[in-house]
Amino acid sequence: MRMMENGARRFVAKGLFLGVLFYAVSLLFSALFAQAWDWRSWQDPRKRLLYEPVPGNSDIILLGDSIWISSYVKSEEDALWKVLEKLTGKRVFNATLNGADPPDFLNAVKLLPKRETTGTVVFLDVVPTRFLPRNYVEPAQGNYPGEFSGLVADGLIRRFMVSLRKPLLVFDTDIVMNCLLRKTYFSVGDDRPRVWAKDGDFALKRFQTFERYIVDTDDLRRMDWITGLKTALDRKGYRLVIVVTPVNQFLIREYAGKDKAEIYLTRISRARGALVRFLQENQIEYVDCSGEADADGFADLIHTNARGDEKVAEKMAGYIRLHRQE
Amino acid sequence: MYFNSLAFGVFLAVVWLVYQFTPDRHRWLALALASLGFYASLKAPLLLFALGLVAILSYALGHCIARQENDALKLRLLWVGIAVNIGVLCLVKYLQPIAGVLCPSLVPAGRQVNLFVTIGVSYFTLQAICYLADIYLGRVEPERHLGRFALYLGFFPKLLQGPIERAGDLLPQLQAPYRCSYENMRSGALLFAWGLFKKTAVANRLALYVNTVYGDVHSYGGVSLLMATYMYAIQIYADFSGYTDMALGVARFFNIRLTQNFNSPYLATSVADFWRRWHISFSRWILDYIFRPLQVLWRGGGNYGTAAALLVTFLFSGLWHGVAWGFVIWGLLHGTYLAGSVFYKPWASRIAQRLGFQNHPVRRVVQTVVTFHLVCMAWIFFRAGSVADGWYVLTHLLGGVGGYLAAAFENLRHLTQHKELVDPILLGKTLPRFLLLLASLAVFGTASLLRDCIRIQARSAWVRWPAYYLLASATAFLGVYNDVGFVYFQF
Repeated sequence: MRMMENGARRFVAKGLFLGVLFYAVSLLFSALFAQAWDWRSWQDPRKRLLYEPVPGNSDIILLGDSIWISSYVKSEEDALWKVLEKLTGKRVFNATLNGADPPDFLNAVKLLPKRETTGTVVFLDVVPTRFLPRNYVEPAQGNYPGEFSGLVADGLIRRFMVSLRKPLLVFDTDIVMNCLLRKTYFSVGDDRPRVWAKDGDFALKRFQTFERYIVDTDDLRRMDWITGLKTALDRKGYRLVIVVTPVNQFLIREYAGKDKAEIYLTRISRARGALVRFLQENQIEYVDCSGEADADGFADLIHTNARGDEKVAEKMAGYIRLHRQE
Repeated sequence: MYFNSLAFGVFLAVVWLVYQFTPDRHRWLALALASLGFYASLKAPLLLFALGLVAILSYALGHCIARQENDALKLRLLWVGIAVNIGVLCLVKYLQPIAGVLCPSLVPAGRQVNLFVTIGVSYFTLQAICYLADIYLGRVEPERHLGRFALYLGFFPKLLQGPIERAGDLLPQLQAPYRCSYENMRSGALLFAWGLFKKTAVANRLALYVNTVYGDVHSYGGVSLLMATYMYAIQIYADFSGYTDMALGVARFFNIRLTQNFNSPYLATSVADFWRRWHISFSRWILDYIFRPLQVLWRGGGNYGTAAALLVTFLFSGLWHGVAWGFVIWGLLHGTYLAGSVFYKPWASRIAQRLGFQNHPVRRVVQTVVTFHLVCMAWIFFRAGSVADGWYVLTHLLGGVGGYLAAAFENLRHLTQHKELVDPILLGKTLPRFLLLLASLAVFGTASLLRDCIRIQARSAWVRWPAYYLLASATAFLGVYNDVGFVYFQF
């Protein structure tokens, strides 16, 4: 075996030195940034999972998608996680992400700290329309592959790289950009208090998109990802509770026309029934909020506003109280 | 294994280290095994089989052609070699899509062609053909060492996306003894880093916008379609040249100088000039092995013969990219541009000379702008999801642009307060995201323009190291790392 030539040795030495120097300088800048700036207060509270470690002392964790990001409330005080905190007196961590899909939920679970005792409840929102087949393919890696790849990893080398990358705040584009341009996250643009029937054609356009994407079939999509999620949470000492969220049947009757409305409502009801049966068969706890929100509690077909969020939060709080007594 | 992945970084480090400690006479084997492993990582055994088949048959035929003294037999052997390589290319790349078009019942419903299955085949088959042709023409001697010849075809930095290397350029480098060059490694690392920036911070970021519009063209108006088309022109250049820079950089670690594949293509003053600057190795290939023979064959037709040769050449170019009407139209458009120039260019030059602005800088600017737009027009069909979508984009490109520009000019000071003026440009993304895109383009444009002036490698460490830090930071901060893939991987 030959020896490494001088040029190669020089290149390796300089390369390693530059790499270490680069990392050290970046770490220094990141530390200075974190010290000088209350950067967390500038971030989107709806994406807390992506920039804040989940506190080990959380009593309730909300996992889910756009249904629980409280887009249509006046301020964070009216957001679901804050309302639930007030009703239960518990520490609630919002781990929902807009547009998240099952692969994203599984990635989110990887970010949860391991619990020694099974105490913390993880509520996951599941709307029955999720199981209606649609005519587009959802990304297999979820909708946040890039974000989660910087936070979770399988394998020794990847985990090492992620642990190196995490402290380098200055390279987190979202964090830095949010600190440069002060943003309002509530009551701005489309994200404001809404009631579907009193807000122009916002909800109608959304419903028409729903109709375009839904496939005309009585089949249902798979539900086994829920058991996968339960297994992952059980291993970490969390208790999964599915919250079956309400669907705006008033909107369907208003916008779909008589015959189609019956078809949609029947399919959604069948999906809900299948979901409940699945959960019972697999001994997964659930809270059924199907009929909780009234007509004024919705912003569109599936998203609730502050009024609807409060109803759902009350039902969830009822579950917490019941199980505290047990 | 993409070049911009962690796995490739680990792979490259291991291969390079092994290469350093390997005795000279076995170094070809280290690279060959590495290339095999690299190709095998795609998990498509068919590709390995295709590479092996092409290597063995082309090696054997190359020796047969060189030894053959009878010209007619020599030519026949060359045609056999061409047919074998084209056959392999068609079988691997085109069989399923053609079957899907001609006989849909043969192709299982809903089964997508695995694009990965075809990666690299287009490149090494063309390389094998030019090797055989160069032997026939007496330009090169056949390579004696089968392993080295296989390495020439399958050298991993250029395996998946070119450049298409000539035997006379690459084989001598593979035969030469290796002496570690610090300068080569340093310049290779810088080239790789620059290519990585172009790919992740420019191409991937632009792709977020382009994919939004071209994924649903009917939902967008003229301004958005125009923006997305310009963005795609930059995206595909940054993507392909970024990959090429990474490939060239990696090759330099092993003292191999691959062919420069790009030379500021959007500064071309004619479509012919564009093809001297874009995908240079491929355009040289089609010029030498398709256009020139056809031009000689049809020389009796004068300009018409030349024009016909250009049309056929670029039809081949379109089909090489894929069996889809969009690629065919793209190729034919370029063929038409070049065929037309055969007739109008002499007249245009004569008029310019008579009017005295033959060498006027304004003429050059006008030529560059016109050429860029002709190329963009062809890119529409290259990128669009279907011919219908491409036609829609082309016919709606300027819709409402005049009114938009007038309104934008009127409200220039308070532009961001007018949602109807800002939305067509933001294309559904937020303003901060758009600012990041502008930042990427600013870094890209500035560095590209100043690269030759600054000559960073000739500067002292006090200048070089902060520059390296800035480049690495820009890549880390501005890069988009979702699994977008390389555009030219699919060809």
